[in-house]
Amino acid sequence: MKYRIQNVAVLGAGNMGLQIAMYVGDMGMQVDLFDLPGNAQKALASAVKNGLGTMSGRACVTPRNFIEAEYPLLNKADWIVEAVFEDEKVKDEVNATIARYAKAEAFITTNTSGIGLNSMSAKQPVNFRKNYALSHFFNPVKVLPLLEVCPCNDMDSEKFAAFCHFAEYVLGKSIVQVEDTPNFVGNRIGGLCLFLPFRLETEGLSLLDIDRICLNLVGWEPLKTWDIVGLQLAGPVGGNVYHRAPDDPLHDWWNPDIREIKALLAKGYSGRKGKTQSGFFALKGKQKLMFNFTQSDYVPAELSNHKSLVAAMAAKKPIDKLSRLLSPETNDPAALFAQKFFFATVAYSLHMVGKICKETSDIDRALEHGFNWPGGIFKLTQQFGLSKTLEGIHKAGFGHLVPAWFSDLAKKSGNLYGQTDNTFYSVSTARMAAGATVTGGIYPDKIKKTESKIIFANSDAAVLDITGDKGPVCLVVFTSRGNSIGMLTLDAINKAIVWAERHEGAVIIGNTSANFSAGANLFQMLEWSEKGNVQAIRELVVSGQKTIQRLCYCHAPTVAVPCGYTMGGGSEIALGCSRRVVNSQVVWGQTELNVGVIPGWTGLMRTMKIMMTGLQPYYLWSKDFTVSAAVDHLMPVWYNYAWIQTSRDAYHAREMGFLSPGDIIVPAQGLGQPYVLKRAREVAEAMLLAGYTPPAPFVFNLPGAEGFAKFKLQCEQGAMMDQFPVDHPQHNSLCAQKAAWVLCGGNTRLGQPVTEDQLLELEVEGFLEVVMRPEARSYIKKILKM
Amino acid sequence: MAEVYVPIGGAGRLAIQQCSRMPDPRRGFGFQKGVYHDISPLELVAKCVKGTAERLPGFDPAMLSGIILTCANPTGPQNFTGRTIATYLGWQGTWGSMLNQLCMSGLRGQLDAANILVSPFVRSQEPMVIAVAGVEKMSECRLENIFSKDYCGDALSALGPEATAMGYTAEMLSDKFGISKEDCDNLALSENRRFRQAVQAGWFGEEIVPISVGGKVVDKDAVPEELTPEIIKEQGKFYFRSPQKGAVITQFSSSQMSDGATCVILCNEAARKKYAWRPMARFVGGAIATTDPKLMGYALTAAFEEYVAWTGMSIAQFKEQYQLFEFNTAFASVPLVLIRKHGLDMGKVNIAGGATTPLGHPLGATGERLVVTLLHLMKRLHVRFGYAGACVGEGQGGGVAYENLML
Repeated sequence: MKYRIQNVAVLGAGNMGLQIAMYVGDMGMQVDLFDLPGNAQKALASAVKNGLGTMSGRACVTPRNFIEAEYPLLNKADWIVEAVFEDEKVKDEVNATIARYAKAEAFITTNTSGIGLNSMSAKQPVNFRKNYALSHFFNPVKVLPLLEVCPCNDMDSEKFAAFCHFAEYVLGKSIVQVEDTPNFVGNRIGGLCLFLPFRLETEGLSLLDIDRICLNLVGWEPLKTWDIVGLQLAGPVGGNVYHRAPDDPLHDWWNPDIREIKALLAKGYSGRKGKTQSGFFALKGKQKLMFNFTQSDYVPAELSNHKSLVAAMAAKKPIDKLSRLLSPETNDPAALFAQKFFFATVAYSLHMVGKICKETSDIDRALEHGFNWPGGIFKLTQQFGLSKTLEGIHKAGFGHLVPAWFSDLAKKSGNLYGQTDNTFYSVSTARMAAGATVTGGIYPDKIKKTESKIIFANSDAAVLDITGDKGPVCLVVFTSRGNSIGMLTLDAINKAIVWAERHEGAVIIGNTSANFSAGANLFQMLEWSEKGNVQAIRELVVSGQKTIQRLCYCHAPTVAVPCGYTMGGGSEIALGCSRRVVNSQVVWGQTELNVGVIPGWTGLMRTMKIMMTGLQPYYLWSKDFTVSAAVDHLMPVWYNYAWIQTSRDAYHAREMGFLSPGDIIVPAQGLGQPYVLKRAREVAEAMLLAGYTPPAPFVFNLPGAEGFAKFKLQCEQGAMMDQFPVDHPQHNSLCAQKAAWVLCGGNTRLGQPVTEDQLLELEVEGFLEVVMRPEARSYIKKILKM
Repeated sequence: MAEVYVPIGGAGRLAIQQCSRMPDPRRGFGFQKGVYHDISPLELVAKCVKGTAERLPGFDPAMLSGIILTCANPTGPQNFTGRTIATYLGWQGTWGSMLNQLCMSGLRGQLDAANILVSPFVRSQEPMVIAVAGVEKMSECRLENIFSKDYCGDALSALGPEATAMGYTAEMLSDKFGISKEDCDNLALSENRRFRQAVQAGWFGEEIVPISVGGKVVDKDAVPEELTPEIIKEQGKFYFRSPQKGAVITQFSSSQMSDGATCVILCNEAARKKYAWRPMARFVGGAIATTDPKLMGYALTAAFEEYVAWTGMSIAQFKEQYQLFEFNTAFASVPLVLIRKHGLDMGKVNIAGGATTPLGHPLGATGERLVVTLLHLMKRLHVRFGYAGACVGEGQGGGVAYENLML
């Protein structure tokens, strides 16, 4: 079933409704945000300021009033999301209105976390029920990938599949199909974990102990999470299960009446978003405090030095941290708590598979993508060992929750997750099943296994042949530590360009790791700076510039695929390519000032060029382009560097000026980089089909020394007035001035054409000047944690 | 001796409202739309001039010889002269010019007007009336760095960073003369208190020129919230120096950014007689002084001393005769240096509030604002001689003095 979602209606301008509206608006869909008269307008007023989206995204959202006169607007919507107040009566009324006005083809979903999906749908007519499903987003929508989905009993199955496709490929969410049960999956398992600190024995454990134990155990901190989401959520999260699932095996533990939380709420401590910005923990200046329930006040947050926790903290690998708590040398309170916590969670989760969702991997994904666990509970079980887990569960007293299939699997020495392949144990079919992969996705690690696909490889990068059926395409994958960029990386890129030009193909630069690249190899830079080896640094800088300029001007189309941290040299490489296919979750910035240098690999020239190609040439070269005007235009470019600005996401990066027309943003929180690389290849193939010619070099009109004087003043005054809270304010001021000198074109005047090469020379000079200084080395050492 | 007068009614200003770039003490240096946001500076000052002039008994535009516009940032929307104002008002017979001596433009405008009115080089024995009008929409100026926005690069390089950061010079001044943070805070608190009392007691009723904005008449100053030591403690931020390095000036003890339009009308003896205008005050004299640009605040004191020297009196005699002062509180340390050095009575300085209140420091309009308030206070309190002074970025200072003729 083919659906095209262009118009969306979001009902409810509360926290979640507003976030969903802004999320969808950023993607360019037209959104009508409904609420009681005036509320939507008010909510939207501060949406951009609060970082919920960009200005252009905000422009796609129209505030509407949920009144008779505006109900007909619902008919316009291709997708209606109900995110109103969690009250069944309110939702019923809203659903009745939706049923009256929604068009037949529309998706109708609810963001409810507390009310049964089918209990609500049962009250509505069939045209509503056929289109109705759960779409439960997690807060914050832009950060947490999880989207729990569930069709109501009468929903058309093709339609549900289409909605899932939309959610995965267009919204870019990580979807988990759940059953219509209280709290669904994320808040059922994760919710239980939130309640465990109050139900297990915590004698001898401070609040910091509890969080630190869980952090070393499963990589997640329950009390910190309470502070982030707000303590008042104990009511709804606990109440849902307590009141609606009387058969829950740990039913009493879901009682929303928690003594500690009530005590804190009574004193007005509701978490970080509350007035006091305190909850279980508080900050006094830089000191972390924790609440002491006997003294009924905050005390300095301290660990109690339990041996097993100390041992866990000393371990390097996560599995060792876990093991030292679960199989400790002593049975101190920390170990006992950890064991109960872990085994209760595993047992409960095992019990729930098949009831709240189909597979174990669903629970893991919900925890990873909804609660930020580094690895789900079953992944941890696999690492710890099924038999040891089973043993621990019984010892902790939760053996009665373990289903037969797990006991059998453990006895047979089976696996929950395949050791060498991407498989998992499917409970529904009782055998190993293939893990989810992206149809047509590009998996460099798999490709590398085929010798013939490796065009070139060195220790820092590999060039792989990923030719599809529409033309030669190669992929440059960074393999260095942290994807840092050095001479070897540049060499690989050059080899890729040679290959692409020879075969009339395209180059894609991207990978499937969490980050594109955080910049140049700093170890090398530090060593050369210490030794005074200007020549070597100059060579590296010039090589980088030449390589990146080749990315821009070679006869093969080049496509960069930024994701995660795309900073410094990584940003420069991405900007140098002909086009960018950007993962929606990207932290993009020219962050060289963090290590006390300026961008030397075309970054300054390129960010300025992007800005200037947006200006009409007749204006750029007219008398109206005065020094003041030039400075006004250059200021945001300079500001991004001087104040080390990084983007919240790809939409923000576009607003900051890192994307050019033609670049696309791919939401892929669920599908991940393999999908984005697939899209990148499609873009590269399209460029080949259309016939690619490299762009003409840009000619700049820059204010020179006159404009520079204005930047210089700001830098000097900033340092003078202690406005830079950094280690070496004078050095930062100098770097900012060097960058401004490049941006102003050096010794030039308005009206004199300035070439890219001239600017690149200025970059080299400026870079060399600052990198040789001790302050730069001090910053580098700090970043490298030396 | 040729005399220069301010006729009754000839000193007026628009009501002070929050301007578009308001350092609201509750919010720091933020942007909020002020009442005058959508009105051009030309319209603001023209309406002020017209409103003030039409208060003069029997006023006819033919009476107004000229308009000296004083503006410290005459670029963009503020790039016009007094002649433009005359044309805008349809007063073809009135000449006009523009004068920029930054913060003391208004004071200098009055001094220059007085000089022309009695000058041997023109027909000053004929009736002559000159309006000195100031305007500054702080929202139209790039206030974060007025120098770095509109000054040429050479000028910036010549001045250097220390001289172009006003707040920084005030901090340096406090270092040199031992002004503490407590002193600055106390001055801010007293100005806030005095302004609130003055507004509530209706002291500004006579000087305000009402204008209509979007159908509504604006004829009252906006009363600020009460400033307390707790608020300063909780919300005070240091913008010009790190507190670890001894910063004393916060946003509360700095001048606020207001949109201002002001007007002082001066006439010579011939005009006063011909038009039968009763004089409110007589222009006594003025002074201009210079100082090290890096300590520009000191010029307020330097100009004061220059003026006193011109009068021929000793400081003691001067203080006996001059009973009311309006000093522009660009930053609290600036007037405090003068007050301390010459032992002035705080009870005679800025008694209706100062620039740290919403009266603010609308640069080019400040000089007239100080005098407008001074003249009306002198009249209300039956004080005979008063002096208004200001310091100026780049290291200048100025002052003018008037004699109250309505005792």
